[in-house]
Amino acid sequence: MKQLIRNIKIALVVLLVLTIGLGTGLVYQQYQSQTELLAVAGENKASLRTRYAQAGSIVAKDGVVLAQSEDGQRQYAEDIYVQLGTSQLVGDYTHHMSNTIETQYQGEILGNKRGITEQLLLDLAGRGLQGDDVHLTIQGDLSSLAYQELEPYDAGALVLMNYKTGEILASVSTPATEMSNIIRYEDIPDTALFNRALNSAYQPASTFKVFTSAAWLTSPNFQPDFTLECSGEPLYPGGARDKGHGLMDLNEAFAASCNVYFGELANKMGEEHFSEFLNNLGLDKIDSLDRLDVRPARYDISAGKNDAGLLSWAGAGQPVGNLIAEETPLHLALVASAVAGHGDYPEPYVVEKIVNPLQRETRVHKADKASMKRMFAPELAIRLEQLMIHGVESSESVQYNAAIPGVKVAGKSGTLERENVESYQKTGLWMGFLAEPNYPFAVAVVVENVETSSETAVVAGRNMLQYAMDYGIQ
Amino acid sequence: MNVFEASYLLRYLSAVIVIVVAAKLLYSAIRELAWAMRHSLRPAQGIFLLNNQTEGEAMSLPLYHTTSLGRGSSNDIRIHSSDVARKHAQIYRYDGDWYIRPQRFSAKVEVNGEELNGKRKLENRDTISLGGTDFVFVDERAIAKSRGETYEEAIFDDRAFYRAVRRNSNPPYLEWVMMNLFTALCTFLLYFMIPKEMGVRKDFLIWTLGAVALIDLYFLILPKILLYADRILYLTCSHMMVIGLAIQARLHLLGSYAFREAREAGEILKAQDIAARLFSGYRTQIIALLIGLFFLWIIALIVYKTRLLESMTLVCAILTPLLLLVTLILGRGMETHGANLWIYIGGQSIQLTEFAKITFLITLASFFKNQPPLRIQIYFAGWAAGVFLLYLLLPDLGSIMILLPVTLLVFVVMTSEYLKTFLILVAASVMGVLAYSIFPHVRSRISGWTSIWTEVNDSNRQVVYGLQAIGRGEIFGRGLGNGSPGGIPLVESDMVFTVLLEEFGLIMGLALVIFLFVIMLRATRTTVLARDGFSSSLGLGLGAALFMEAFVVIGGTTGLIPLTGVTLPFIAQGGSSLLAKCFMLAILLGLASRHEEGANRK
Repeated sequence: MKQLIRNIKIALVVLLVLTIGLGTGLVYQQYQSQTELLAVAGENKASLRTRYAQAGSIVAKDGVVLAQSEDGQRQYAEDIYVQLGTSQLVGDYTHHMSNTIETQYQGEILGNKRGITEQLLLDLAGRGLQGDDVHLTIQGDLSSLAYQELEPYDAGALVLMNYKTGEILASVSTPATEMSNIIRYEDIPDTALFNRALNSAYQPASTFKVFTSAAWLTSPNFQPDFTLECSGEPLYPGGARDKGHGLMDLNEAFAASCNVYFGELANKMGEEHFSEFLNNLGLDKIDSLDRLDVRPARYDISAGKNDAGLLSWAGAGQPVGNLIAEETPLHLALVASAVAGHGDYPEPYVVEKIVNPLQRETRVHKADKASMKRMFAPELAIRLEQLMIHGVESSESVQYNAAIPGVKVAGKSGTLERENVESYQKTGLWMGFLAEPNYPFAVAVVVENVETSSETAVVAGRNMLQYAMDYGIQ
Repeated sequence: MNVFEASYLLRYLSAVIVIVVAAKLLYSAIRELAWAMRHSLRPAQGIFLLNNQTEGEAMSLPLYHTTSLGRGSSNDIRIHSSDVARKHAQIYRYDGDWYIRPQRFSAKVEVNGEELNGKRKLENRDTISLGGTDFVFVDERAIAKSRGETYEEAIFDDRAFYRAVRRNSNPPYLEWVMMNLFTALCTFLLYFMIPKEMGVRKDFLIWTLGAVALIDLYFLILPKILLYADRILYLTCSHMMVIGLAIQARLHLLGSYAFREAREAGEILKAQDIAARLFSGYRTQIIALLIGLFFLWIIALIVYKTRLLESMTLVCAILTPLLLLVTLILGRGMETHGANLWIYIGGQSIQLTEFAKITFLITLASFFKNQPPLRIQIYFAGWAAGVFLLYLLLPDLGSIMILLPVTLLVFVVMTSEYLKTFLILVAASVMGVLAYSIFPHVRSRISGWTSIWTEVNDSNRQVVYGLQAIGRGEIFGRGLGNGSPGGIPLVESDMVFTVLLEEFGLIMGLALVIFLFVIMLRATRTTVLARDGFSSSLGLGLGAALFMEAFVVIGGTTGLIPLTGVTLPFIAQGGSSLLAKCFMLAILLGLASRHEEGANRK
């Protein structure tokens, strides 16, 4: 009997340890599930419909409701163009897209991310079940117009932002599809769930010449009066070629986007200085827009170290061979912003504030000087701005299409050519801004599979800057 | 404020209720077990050994329901002689009679000069010799009987002890009131949450209140049925039952898209049909509970008043594999979620494996009621291996995960064979590895379990969805009816714990863990207070089985261990499971109420 009692005591200790372990494990697993499994691919779609029945709204800066829950149903922007223009950014409550406001701000939208006091106050007011509203910097009208600019083309992306504050006013990616298709996961065009504006790695083409110019202007080998006779033929074996522009200085070469001239600049300043300049830009560190993932920019031209021909292609912004240059439209817009902001650019953001059901603002984005980052020295940025304005004003340039009467427009276009089996495809790029203090707008446009080089992107960008002037200041 | 918002607000109240009830029950259970431990070493009255000392003096040595004799310090009667083994012999009571048995082959035990090979019944004045040390077995009852007298003092002492047991057992009235408050709260909310158009509100109220009334009635009259009723155990299980009723009503009667769509499409007949079908699912659960409650007092009384269970050892030993074989044969081709655990009789599905657990535990208790010798242990090992093989063939991994640790626990507690237990654990681990390499469903479970944080696939979707629901519940939950259980496979049965956590929060999860530990503590108390090895062994086995079952469910649904198809006792959907759990509770109540008089009754 003494043995039995002793054995029972030992057994009880073991069972107590198991019980405590189970309780602790329960707490830990709940914490883990909140941090690891809140919004994952393969989420329980059936439960999402119920959970979003009382979710908060997603509201554009101009008051357009981009998503809201009514009568237990989640509904998206009434205007179909607004819906299409914001679909990849706002996202769907079924979370078929994960890098969206609906998914990444799920906790707030469903009202799960509140402090105890706030939750108690809401509970007592009978509003505890309702989620918080997420107010975006995006404008519904501009998103609609941006979508319509890109709609005629196979695919593309556009980012419009305020270069003084960092507000993203439009972030559009095409192709896009109606939210009902996404929710049902039917009739979805290829890549329509992919947000090109934030996640597509585009090769920069001639827009890269802004960096080549900047690196040259800061190079120890810089020659202010350097000119070159462009015959169109490469200066180095396998090097950059063009159509033959004649005698070029920096201003004219920038406006004409002369590959041969910029190829020679790269060789004159050397790979080491060029690489160091690119690495110091800091664009590779921009990997998020609030909670949304952004594909970081990537530049690696070390392959051109001992190959003058390859290095000349790097200077021209055409990453052939093992040269690497990738950036998203958001990065392009930030480069334009940095030039416009005389070297400094603001941290971009898309979520302006979060408002709980009692209309209390629980989180507000505060843009201040501390959030400004430097990409170029001020005098360098001013010089780049002059080059970009000259590029738009030059009647020889394709960028002449970007000119807006009475307003200073700056920009740089690019055309990426890719030989496919079926067709000879081009991707047009343009980044630009208004050099006007009252209209601090910068834009980046990419249009894929076009026939007319960068002209389509330039026109779309120009139109967006015009729209921004008309609607942009809320 | 609508009813769903009210539920959201009232979640704080329900959290307070469950945690207070759990804490109070735990406190009572610990306090009473500690008392029982301090007072449990009660020698049998009027039964003892006499040991001849020098100069003609004799020493009286008390006997317990199981008394070990030997050289080792852990024996109840220690004999300092090199001719005596560490564990030499055992004297135990079974069915009112007393027996002696050598503990090992080499241990020489003589009764009245006759050497023993096995057990032998002891009579008054029998002389027992252990390695040269002599004792005389004294039975004062037999002496009194031979004189035509009545042995009254022992009975008085025993009753006095149980009166003390009762004095130290606080009737959990406050907990009972709080349980009813919880029930009223949930029933009120559910009544208004159930769509009026379903037309089942009245039926819901009648069936639910009927079941709760019966639970309450039993609580109040339990001491009248069973002399030393364990109301803390009953109330703990009752609270789990009412939680089960609330969550099953919520899962069956709220948020049916099929019903809503039929209504919106104007298909009234179809909507009515869906409503009737949904209510039928809930009613089936209540009917199973009512049947279980009906049999509860009958079984408890039988266990309390008779020795029927002890006499059913052979029946249970045959019935256990038979029930599994029947399931294996008749359930073939009716595989559900990878297992053949159900057979269909008259359109009703029955899970015989749930009842096989009870017969297994009764057999286990019979084998290990009083430290069986190695030969008996080997017999049991062979029988148990066959049973586990059948479980594996079904396959019912959940039952193996419950019964294997329970068997080991009962074995080690009743025999003190720690080394053997360790070796069995090693062997079980090896078998586990073999099962992993042989059986694809075992591999699938393990691979699903190891990948829950990295990807969602067919093997782990159930757990991941469950964990997401648990995460959504946070501390206080979303309130009854405000969760999103849609899409979680087997949400009413295997995964019901996750819905409880989503709607009642982490507090409910912890309260349930406490409830299960309370059940284990009460079963342990029964083991400690029991006056015979069978009651001790069975009480321990039943309590451990309920504890392990819940442990496997909670561990599985929260991703702490691989998920197996086991249901949460008293809460999950499943008539067979609920019935079996009521039977287990009934047996535990009966065992807890046994006393000296009952134990002696043949």
